Amino acid sequence: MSKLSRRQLIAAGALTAAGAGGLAVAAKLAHRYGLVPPDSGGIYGPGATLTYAAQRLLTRHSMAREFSRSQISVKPLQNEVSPLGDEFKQLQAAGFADWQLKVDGTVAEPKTFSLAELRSFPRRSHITMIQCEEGWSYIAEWTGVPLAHVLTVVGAAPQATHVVYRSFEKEWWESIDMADALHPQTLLAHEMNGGELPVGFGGPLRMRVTRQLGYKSVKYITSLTVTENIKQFGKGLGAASPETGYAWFAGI
Amino acid sequence: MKKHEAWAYNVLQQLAYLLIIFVAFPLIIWTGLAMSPSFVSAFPSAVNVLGGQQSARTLHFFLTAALVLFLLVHVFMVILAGFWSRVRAMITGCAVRKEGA
Repeated sequence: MSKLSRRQLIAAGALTAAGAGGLAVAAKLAHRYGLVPPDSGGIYGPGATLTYAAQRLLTRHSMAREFSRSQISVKPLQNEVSPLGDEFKQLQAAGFADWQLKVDGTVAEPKTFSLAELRSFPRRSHITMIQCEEGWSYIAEWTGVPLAHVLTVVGAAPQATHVVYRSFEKEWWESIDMADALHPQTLLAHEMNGGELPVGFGGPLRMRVTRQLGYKSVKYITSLTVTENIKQFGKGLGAASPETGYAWFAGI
Repeated sequence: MKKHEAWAYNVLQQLAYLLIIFVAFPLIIWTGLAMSPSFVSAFPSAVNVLGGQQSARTLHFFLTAALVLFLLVHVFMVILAGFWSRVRAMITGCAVRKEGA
């Protein structure tokens, strides 16, 4: 083996310094352009940040694949949920007439919508695949009000960066950035395959985020909060899922 | 420097490395990306060519098994061929020959 020459040593040193400087500049730019996910700390943080930044630079406006009617899964997997309790049963018995969606945060006018109001809003349908972290997937037709429309109705502030959403299951909350919140396929879904959204699939109201894994499509949505500071919620990781080891950005 | 027979790779070995580097690794990256809902939304043909997301997942699993097996066999061979001299060769890029070899 030849000895490392002085020239090589200097070149290697210069390259290392340039690399470190480049990384620092990249980190600064990433922060400025909102390319850093809320769960950017920890050992998986750099990987999560790289994934999120790359996806936002390359696929910000992409649309999830839509399938034909004949491709809809005959037997979609109804992922089990823990028992929802008596309060939910009472709401269900009344046909969810008293189900409410509360919207607050950095909006011109905080509002509460009934299910009937949400159903009367402009609706959009798409036949898309829902894909779980565990590996299973199915294709279904989802119908609902685009989240972007609800955000317009309440007058979401232009400086908002994220939308937080919570489930009737209190421990389950998530958030998405504005790229996904304003994405035309992102729905507050209330119908599935042409019928009312079954409880097993998240009825009466489910968030449907088409470009991320299934755990971002939270079931039983009860409230939304528009925010410009995602760090103030929970443990500051942007959702409940990163607290148990899942990535906040599930576009992978 | 004259190449000693013991230091050269035979055809089967060369084929194995060719397959791993130019087929298995690109395929495992491709099938991995095909499981990403965001990537697929931008490049749908990447998953259509593979026959859908579940096919990509199956291929990804078999490729993982193949690569892990390849690794285990190689670690085993390194142990058989003399662990320290082989590891030293990997790190420094040159093999130390024994006297008279």
